Amino acid sequence: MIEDPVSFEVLKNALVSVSREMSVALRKTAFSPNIKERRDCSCALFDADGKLVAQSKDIPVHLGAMPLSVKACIEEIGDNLVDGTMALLNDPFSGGSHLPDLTLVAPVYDDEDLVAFVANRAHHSDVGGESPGSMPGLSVSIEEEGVRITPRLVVQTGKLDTESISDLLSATRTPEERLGDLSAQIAANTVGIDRLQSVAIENGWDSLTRTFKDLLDYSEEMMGGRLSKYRGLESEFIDHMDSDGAGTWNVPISVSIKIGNRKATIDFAGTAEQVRGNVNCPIASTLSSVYYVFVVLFGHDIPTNEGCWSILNVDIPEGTFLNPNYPAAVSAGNVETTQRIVDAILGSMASIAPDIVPAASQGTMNNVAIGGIDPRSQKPFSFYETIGGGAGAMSGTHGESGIHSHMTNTLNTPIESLEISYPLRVWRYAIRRDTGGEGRWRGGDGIIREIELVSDECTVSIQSERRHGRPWGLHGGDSGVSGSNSIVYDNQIHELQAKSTVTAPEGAIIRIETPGGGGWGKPVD
Amino acid sequence: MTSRVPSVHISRMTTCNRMIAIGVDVGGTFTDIIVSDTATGQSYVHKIPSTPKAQDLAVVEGLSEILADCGLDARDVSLIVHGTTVATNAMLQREGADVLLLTTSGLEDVLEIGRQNREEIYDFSAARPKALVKRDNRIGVSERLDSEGNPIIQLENREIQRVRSLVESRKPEAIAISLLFSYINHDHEDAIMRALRDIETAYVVASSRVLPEFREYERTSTTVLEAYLGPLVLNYLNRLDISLKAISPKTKLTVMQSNGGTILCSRTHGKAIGLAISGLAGGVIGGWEIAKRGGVNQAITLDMGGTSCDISAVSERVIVRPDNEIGGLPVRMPSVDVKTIGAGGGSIAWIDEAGVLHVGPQSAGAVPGPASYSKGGTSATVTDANLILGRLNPDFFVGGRINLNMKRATDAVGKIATHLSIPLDETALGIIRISTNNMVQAIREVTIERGRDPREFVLVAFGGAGPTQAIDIASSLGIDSILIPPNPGITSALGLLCADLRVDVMKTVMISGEDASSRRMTEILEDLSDDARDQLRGQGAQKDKMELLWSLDMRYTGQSHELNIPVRFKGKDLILASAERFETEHEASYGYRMKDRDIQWVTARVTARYPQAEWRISGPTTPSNGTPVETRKVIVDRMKTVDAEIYRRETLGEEQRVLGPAIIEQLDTTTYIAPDWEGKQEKDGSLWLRRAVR
Repeated sequence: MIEDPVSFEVLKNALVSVSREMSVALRKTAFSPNIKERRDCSCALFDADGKLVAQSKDIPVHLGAMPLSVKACIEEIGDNLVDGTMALLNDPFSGGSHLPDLTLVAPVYDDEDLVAFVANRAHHSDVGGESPGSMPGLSVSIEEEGVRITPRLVVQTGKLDTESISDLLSATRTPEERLGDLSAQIAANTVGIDRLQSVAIENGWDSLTRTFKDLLDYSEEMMGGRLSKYRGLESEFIDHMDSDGAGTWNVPISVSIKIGNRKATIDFAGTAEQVRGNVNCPIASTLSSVYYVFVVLFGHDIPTNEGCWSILNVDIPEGTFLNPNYPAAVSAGNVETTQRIVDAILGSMASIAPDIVPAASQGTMNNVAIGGIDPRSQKPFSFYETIGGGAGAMSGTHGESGIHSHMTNTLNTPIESLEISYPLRVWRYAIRRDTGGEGRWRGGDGIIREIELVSDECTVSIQSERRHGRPWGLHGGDSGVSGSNSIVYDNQIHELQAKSTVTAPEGAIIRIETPGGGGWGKPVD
Repeated sequence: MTSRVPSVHISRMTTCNRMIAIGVDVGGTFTDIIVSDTATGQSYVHKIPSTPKAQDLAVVEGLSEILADCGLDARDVSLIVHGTTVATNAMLQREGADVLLLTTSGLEDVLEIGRQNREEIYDFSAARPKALVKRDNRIGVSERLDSEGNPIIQLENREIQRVRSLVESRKPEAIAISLLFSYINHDHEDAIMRALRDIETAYVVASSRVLPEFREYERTSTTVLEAYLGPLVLNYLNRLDISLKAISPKTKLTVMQSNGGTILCSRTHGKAIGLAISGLAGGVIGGWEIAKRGGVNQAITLDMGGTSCDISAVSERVIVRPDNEIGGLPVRMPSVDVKTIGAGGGSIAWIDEAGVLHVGPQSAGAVPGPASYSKGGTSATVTDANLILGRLNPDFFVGGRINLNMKRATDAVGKIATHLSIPLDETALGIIRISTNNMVQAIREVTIERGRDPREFVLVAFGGAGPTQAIDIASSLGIDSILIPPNPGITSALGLLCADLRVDVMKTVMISGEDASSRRMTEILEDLSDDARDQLRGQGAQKDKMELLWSLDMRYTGQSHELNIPVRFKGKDLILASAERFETEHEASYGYRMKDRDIQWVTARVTARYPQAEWRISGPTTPSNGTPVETRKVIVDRMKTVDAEIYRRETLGEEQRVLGPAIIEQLDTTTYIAPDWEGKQEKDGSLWLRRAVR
């Protein structure tokens, strides 16, 4: 057990604060709004084996996704990761998530000995590919999505070697911004190294590396203890993606879970093979979704580190769309598929731990992009947003209405801000009443958002889910109402597909109705 | 429990007529009062238990007591400055008015949806505070402005009549009006306001008056909060004003606002929400005032009481942020930047299921209190640990008003020690170390995470528990100097006396690129200045002593956060100069400029202050150096005990030095001086602690 419980508590806090301070440095010095304002970035510390020791918990979709990146660097670069170097990667097939997420890994040395790693991941606004932003709506191969970077050294003696990223710099539409964001990532790792060194000076590396181990043991002990209550239980569940956007409908995600002695097995056998469209989910993001569910269920108050999931044995068959092979398109995996993975695991856990598992939430982020020419300035504009919906109910709590759930938590764009900046007009932004599933505890309601185009020939692109399937209820609670997308023009309603790209005239109103959450338990009259 | 302490002398620079000014700070446990008499230069402090159900009872009672005790005539009291938690408490307990919200049709749910994000990411319940106005009471009004303020749908008379009869049938206590783009064009809000004016029973407020800033959710939420809290806060202040007038008819009652300045009680209609953190601002102002007088230009104020610790990092001037939150809801109102965490003397030590020790954020409070209080508490707290370590005197805690029971403390901390299988002394040290660590993390957040180095700051520690742990905190942060105010327990009340009258006005302008004209911007700022001056004049301020500060919230187009840029001069170069200043600030804050990116001037702001009084603090005139009253064993490390000399604060002479290990006891706190540190009592009555040169 923990030898010195007082020092442990103090050092634990110090390590979390190192990762937070890395995050602050990254956000402050980055260029892209994605990093600065939406906080689509994470920073973390690892032990010498690449095990996660502490992480800033900025965004669930990065939860525990970086150890794979660090391990990929150790495997591919090995002894060349000397003091003063840093390695970069984004390859979804070797430890990355989707291409815009660049991960930078730096070793930390105590004299001759490698004692730790620091790393950070940031969403870059453009890494090349078919469309600006590197998240093409209808891609069918990763080659269309941008530059793929397998682990490689890009920093030597603390300096960025621009030669080593010439492919990235020539592919991106905004090379200056890339350099700026990368400098910020270097700065963040440098802060991490310095802070870790100064904690070590105060306490000694021995005591620090012992704390690393204690931390993992501590989280494992806490998670295992809480899991053991459900020992011997098992369950299976299948959920479906509406479509891959490229001709395949009802794509199954199959999960079976067995709880053993202080551990759990999560098996995705039976999940669909990788698909043509871009809903394939890189293994790092699939794992993040799994970790997210278990951390929230059992460990939201436990330090987040590898110990939280070392008790999980996750089997994701290679070649399925949750562990795809090159050249699978993956750009929507992070934003839509991860939500369904969460649903599938929760569905399976629901019969194991009924008291603490909520019904399905809206299960989508409702990505809407509108582009065209702004008649006021005659300049092109491009607007992107995600829309909240209903959260699933759980024992003792109604689901919240009109809110982002699970893997995302981004703010909306205020209507006043939106109308000033874009030729758009919001006529309705309302709770979509009575769309949450009925139940002893009711699911939350979705949202209705109606946006009028005040510019001709706009391109409207929608990536959404749960337009056919419905967020399920639990224990007799009803499902939430599925969402719908339509264009209202001349008093006529034109239904749109869950994933669609259309051109629409001035005066058309884009109406997005987001799904309600599932209910929990039989309704009481 | 009442006591009176002759204290530091505070006198007014310009002594003319006899004037008595009083600061009254209402805290969760005590109501603190400081009385300053210009005729004698004397000041007095007084502490009585708060009366949370009706804060004014303790205020009035305490005032009468201290005036009588000091032989002062209530009729000579010219100013009473009040810091109150009445708005915060009403909010936390959801005791506000029944509000009807009138909003642009189609957007009735903006208040409920908020920014569509959840507070706690790693929690399935995704709970967020319930909207203060339920669906049935949010009424859509048929009207619509475009983003330039032009009506696309007119507000018809018939519609106004419909709204009016609806309001009459509902009979709400308060009405909030918040229409889209009303910060640009308030005609529609005004028209509704006029139509509802003669409904006397209701408190009616419009968003274009409360907060003429863009972002409909924040504006609506703030306006609704004004409607929700206004009736209650005004009712409380009126009641207090009447009671005070009965004692002292000439007295002017002012109230501390969240922005760190005061407002005349009679001017708070429509500004109740500006009092949201009234109770916190005084501490920061008081701590900073002491620091300034000690010649310090960067200070971390740390107000540690029984249940919580309020922290603020001040450089050159108290930082006022544009927003704040109350009970989980956003309030877009200028507020002193202060961070509160659950760390106090009553914070409870506990062990989790994996055997790790934690301290707080739960607190034993005043009741049942720490185990050593013998009031029924059995949990080990920070106070119990300090008692075991020898830092606190069992017979002289809060001046002997509470007897600390060593056996109960030992039993409580002993339970933890047994559980951890470590000795008692180590456990007590561990509790202090972890509690210290919690405060250190919070200080790191307000300094390092904002790009400032805490080692360049002086720690100003006060509140009942702050001075006992100040050296632990400073050591951990690498801070070398600590300042302990003369009366650490009444620093908030002192802050009230030092505050200026202050008015903040703002207006979103949203101008960018070539549309930006220095003349137009100057006009807007002048208009705002006129408004601010009028408001100050209405509170009795003279024009020549007013101080006006202009600033502009600016950003690059496409960004969603603004930087606040002070405007140093007027004239034709205003736009150019502010743009240059913005880019410099942006580079300093974020590390870069954006070439060729348009700049937006988002909101114009004017702050007007009027100095209430210039107070001078002179020290207690103790001619000779005090001598220790006793020696006590203090545990400083595992198995290591030292003999510490115990002094009484009021006996310390001017410039007297006290070498650690030592303890300085006074009525409202205990200061612990560790080995390797040295204390020095300054002329002004402040106590400096410095790391001794080795």
